[in-house]
Amino acid sequence: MIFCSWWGWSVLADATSAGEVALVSVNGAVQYRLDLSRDGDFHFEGTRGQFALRVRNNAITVVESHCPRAICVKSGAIRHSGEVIACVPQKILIFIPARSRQNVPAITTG
Amino acid sequence: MSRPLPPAERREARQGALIVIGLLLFLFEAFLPKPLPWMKFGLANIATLIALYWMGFRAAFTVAFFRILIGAVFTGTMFTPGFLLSLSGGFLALAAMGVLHRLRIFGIVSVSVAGALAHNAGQLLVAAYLLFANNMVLYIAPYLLASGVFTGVVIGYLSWRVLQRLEREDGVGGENPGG
Repeated sequence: MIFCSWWGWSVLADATSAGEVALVSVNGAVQYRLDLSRDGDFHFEGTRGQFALRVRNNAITVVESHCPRAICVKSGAIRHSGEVIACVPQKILIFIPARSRQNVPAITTG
Repeated sequence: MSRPLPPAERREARQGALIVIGLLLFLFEAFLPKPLPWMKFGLANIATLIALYWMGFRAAFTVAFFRILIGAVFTGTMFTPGFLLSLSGGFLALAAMGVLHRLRIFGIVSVSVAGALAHNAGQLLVAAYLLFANNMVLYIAPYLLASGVFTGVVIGYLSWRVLQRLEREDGVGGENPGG
């Protein structure tokens, strides 16, 4: 437990800066790369159906997901590196990587 | 009142009752609004803990396994990624609680906290390495584990109170739950 918390906080320590991009992974592969400084709406197909993201004021929110409980929509906006929105039924993960790890090859949109 | 059932049947009846109680708690919780999207109390674990202290590890396994299975049927998540998370968390929690219970140096609250943390750990590992294949999920580990300690204490305390009552009412077949 002590180790876990130490490890957790050490990971968190380098993960509290404002993010620049959000990466969207569908079914285990990073597919979209969204610039958080450019507002816009993005629609794409998840593993179960429609998925809609909105970028506003350097933050990203899930606005629509075709899944039973829509926990990803209720998660609200994320804006800092290290923050994650996960949609388990759709296998979609939206995350803001630390600055040093933002150059993941991905399809650029927006 | 009818005459008491023979021990084997009584055990079976108790397991069935605990499965149903776990199921009701699970469904009740599923309809409650969550304070945080990833936070869960794990009310259903009360039934598993009671089974563990009342009838031992095998009963706890039965209670947890069937609750997860039937719960998935009720919530329509059978064989979905969510079910995988449920199952992985459930099994790891059960293993951790079984081991700590067997050691006999931990009280029910510690066992419950270990179960909550193992549940979180199992889910995180499956999410990070199987489901999303992305270790970014591990960034929520600190929040998840911190909430696990809190919910584990609450669930452990509630189970302890129920077990105390069971001891008083029932008197037979119960182990001392300890502090």
